[in-house]
Amino acid sequence: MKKIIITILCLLPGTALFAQYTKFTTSGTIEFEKTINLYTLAKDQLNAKPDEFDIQRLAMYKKMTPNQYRKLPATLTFNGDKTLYTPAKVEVYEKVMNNDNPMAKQFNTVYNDLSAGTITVLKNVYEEDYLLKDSTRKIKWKLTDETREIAGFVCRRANAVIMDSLYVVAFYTNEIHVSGGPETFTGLPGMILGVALPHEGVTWFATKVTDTSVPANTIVPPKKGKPTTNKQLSKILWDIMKTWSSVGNRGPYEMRVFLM
Amino acid sequence: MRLNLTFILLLLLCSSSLFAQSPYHIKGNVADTASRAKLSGATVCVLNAKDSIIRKFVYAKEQGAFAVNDLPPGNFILLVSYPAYADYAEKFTLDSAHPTHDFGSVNMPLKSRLLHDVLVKGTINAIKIKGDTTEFNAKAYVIQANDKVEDLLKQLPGIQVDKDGKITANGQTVSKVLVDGDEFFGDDPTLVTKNLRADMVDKVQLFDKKSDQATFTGIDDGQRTKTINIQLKEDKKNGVFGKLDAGKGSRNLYEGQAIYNRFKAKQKYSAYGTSANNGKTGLGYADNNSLGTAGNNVQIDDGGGIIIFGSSSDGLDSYDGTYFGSGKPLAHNGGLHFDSKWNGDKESINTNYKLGSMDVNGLTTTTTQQTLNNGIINSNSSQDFKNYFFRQKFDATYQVKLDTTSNLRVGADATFKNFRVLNNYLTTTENGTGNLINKNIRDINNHGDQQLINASFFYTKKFKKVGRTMSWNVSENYSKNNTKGFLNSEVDFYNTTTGAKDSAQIINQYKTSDVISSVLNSNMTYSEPLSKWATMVFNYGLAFNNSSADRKSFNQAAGGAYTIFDNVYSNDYTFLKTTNQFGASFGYKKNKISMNLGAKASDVAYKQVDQYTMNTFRRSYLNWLPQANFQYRPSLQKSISVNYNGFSSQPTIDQIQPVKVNTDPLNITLGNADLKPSFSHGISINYNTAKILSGTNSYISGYVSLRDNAIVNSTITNLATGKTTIQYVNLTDKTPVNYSAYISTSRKIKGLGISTGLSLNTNGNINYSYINNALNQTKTNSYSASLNISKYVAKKYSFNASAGPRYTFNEFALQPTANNNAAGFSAYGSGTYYLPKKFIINTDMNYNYTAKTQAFGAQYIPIWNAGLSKSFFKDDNLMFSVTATDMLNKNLNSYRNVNANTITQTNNTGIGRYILFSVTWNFTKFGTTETAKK
Repeated sequence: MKKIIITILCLLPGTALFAQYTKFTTSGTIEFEKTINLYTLAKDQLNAKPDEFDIQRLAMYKKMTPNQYRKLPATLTFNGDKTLYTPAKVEVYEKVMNNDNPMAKQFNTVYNDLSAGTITVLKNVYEEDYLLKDSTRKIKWKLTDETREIAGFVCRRANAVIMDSLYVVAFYTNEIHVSGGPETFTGLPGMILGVALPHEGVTWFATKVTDTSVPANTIVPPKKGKPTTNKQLSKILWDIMKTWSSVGNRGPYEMRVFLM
Repeated sequence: MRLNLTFILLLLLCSSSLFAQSPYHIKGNVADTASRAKLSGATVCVLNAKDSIIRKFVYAKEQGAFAVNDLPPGNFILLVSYPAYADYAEKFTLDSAHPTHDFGSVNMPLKSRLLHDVLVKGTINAIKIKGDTTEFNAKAYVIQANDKVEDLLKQLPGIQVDKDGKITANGQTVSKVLVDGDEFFGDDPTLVTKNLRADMVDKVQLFDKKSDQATFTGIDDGQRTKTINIQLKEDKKNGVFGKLDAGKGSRNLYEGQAIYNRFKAKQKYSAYGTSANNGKTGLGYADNNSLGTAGNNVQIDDGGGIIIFGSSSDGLDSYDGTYFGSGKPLAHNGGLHFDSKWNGDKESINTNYKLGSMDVNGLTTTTTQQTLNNGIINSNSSQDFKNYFFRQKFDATYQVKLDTTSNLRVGADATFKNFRVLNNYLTTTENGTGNLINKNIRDINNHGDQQLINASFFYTKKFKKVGRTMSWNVSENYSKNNTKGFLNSEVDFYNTTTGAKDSAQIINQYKTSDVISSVLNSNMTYSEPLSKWATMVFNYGLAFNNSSADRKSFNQAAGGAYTIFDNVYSNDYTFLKTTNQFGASFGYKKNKISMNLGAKASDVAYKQVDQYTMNTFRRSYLNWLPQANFQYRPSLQKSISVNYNGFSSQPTIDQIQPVKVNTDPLNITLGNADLKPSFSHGISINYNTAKILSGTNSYISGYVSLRDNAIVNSTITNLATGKTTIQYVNLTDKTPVNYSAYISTSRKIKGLGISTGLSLNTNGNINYSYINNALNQTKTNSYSASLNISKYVAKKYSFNASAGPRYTFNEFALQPTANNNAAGFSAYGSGTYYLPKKFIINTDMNYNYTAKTQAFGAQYIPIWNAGLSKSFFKDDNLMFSVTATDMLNKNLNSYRNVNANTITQTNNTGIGRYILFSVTWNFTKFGTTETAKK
């Protein structure tokens, strides 16, 4: 009656013969690692058309920083529609070429209530704590058919543009039936195990997934910090950072990073 | 029937959709193609057909059933996935004719050809701003026609520029301003900030420049210099710009200024010239105080000793071209600058030529009251001076990158100076009852010239292992100083009881002085990393200081010619100082902590030969220079550091064995061969915190220094003759102390756009001296507070005001009742207001009040300046202005000082009140054909 294309694909022996029932995870712990390409960050701190001085500074920075990648661990615990993303505490963040670049840090502790569509983020902005409560970020994800394996899970790639111009690549698994992810990245039909901001030189990838159920009462929103919303915080930041950028620009980099 | 089924299914599977407003929905069942097993938990996504954006997704319930509700009409793709299964994808359309779609049984098929990897073209802006306090984009600030870089800096948050052009960033002084990473006219920041136009600036980068050693070795020693780099706009790197400024004032005062700059790709040419007799002695604040060569006369060497090239101990007054507001100056100055890079920036050259002259004449009167244990001496002195100074300086630095690991820098500079000094002194000294003790008339007429030539060679090499480096620095400094002059002095001594003249001392001599000094210095440094966090640095230095000082005095012969050689006041010394220095330091830096511990030991051997008697004077010392610093940074915006420095200072040759001089017969210095070196300890603590979001900035610092075995003055004044002899002695049982503490905090009041600041300051010291063989302890403590507010609204108005009280306490052990305790109050305010029709009015006022003290009456000094200007043409590049300086004519140029047993008040001739009419023309031409041709 309808033109439905039905094809059988024998990816694995036996697939076609015996249906494989997957146990879908709804609670557990994921270890994430934020990897920052310091050279990219440093380069982006320069002019679009770097001059000799810039090039010199960058070369000096590279020499003084033999490790191109900074790795920062974080943990995501989830139970049902509640997730909590907690970055590991870092004693001191070295500046990136003299710049206290927030992209090279982890400053968000993120609690997501996916069913209510609300988010609670403890945001440390230049050593001041804000408690941001707002609705979950709506991301228009474009699905692709590209997959890769992350921490033992086959993940599908999705692309999106957030905050008007930030290109995001995410990989999610349909084996974890929680629509969460690292930081504030959510909204895919499964747990996001990898996020890359290819133009920014930053990625978040899961290194380990434990499906031992996490008690629901341990996944609680952070409480510390000055209450705020996205709009309020963006005004606070803009008031300060507007003087840091050219007028009429789409909004300074840092502001975008802090609001990410 | 079919509708019913749908309805039932919906009810069963997704009751929530029952009251859904949108009629558009889909449903289906997911099953294994082969076994027909129901795949519950399958992921069911609805994507936009045109761009694959996810519309909605659900997980299939028990029995693999799914329903997606609340969809809008449109073209979609259904994508069903299940772990280890291939995806199922199907296009479908919902419209008013087909508001629902039932997929029936979805059997997991092959990967769909419909789904394409639609890559989103990222519309990424080239990121120009990376936030932080580091880089400011000039575009964000309001720049008016003819604004200079200084006007831009004033607007940047956290940066202050004071009236002299001194820049402070986050409470720390900015000591370097670079242009596109290069030095411009040497190290005087104002030559950049007052010369370059703000509209040429693309970015202002503020950063902490690491020490040369840290930059080179890659070992962070925690030493930082606040540096501003002015990055020019690409299209402003080629062009011509400058300024002409001429002003004529009342009382024949004038000032003129011309600045011309030509920038061309990797080359910069600049020239400036100034001429004025109203106290403007150059472009910048560094020029204001000197003609830029002061730094070359005195150098503190690593051994802790001080090398003074143009030794002033020859007793012949000289003049170094400085102007501190005393006298009437006539100054002409000019300079040329050129820098260039080539060979792929591997080679660069930076050269400057400056010349200047300064003519100052004036009158200084000094009143001194000296309290001795057996009486009081009052003296009045007047000094009529007429000084002239001319200087030329040329310097060049060539740098080359030999390869990727080694660098060579060769520098040379030469300075030629000459001066003329005419001084007439008249001093009368009385005792406490007003009887004359002595009267001194002295005329000095000297002229001289000086040549300074310095050359240096600096080679650095890095090894493969990160942190292993070596460097070698060799420098030669040569100076030659010739002075010739006449000394004419008569001292009459009076009998205080009869008032009759007792005796007289007359000196009428011609004097010559030839001082030659040559210093060769070599220093090698080697660094070796011990681990990722720890490093050792070793250094060895060797220095030879070879100098000679030939001073001759001649008395007048009968015919009037100065031919009679005076062997008492003539001498010829040669001097050799050899310094060997070894040093080692250990550096550690990990996470929040960085520290550095080190010590240097220098073996210093002196040899002085008296060429007349061939008497040799030898001394050798072992000097220790321990140092330790510790820095803890709990966060990026917070840091606390503790520093310790210790150093020994050996007595100078003049303190041990002074050259016999007769230039000031009333003050005679005696030597002390038993002097031992003293040792100083200094500890400082700094705490710095900033909150970027609230714009607050706080800074606390404290400093204490102690000196063991200090070398102090011992003066003996003869009450009968008024003669004073000075000798230096070691203070063995007491320790002089110096301390200071400073707290400041600043914040921005957001709604009002006003910056406010509060600072508290205290400092004090305990010093000792011997007065007529009695030990005198002097204690001084002063406290001050200041409140500051400022606001800048471009093109409308700006103001800056600060005010605060201060209190000073003095205590002299020998005069327990005498003190100069004084309260005071200082205020400063300045404002600019933009009137219509391109008129600008500005005014500033400096008010200083000192309350009455035991020795002096109260003093109020308000200095008020104001100006009005009007600009013309579209770019405002022509401007007329009228300025009135010191409108109340209160600039007394008067200084008061109380020290131990002496109270001094000095009055100087000043420039006083005047009005100046001036015309300023700014010219610019950028993006000339050079760029177009390329």
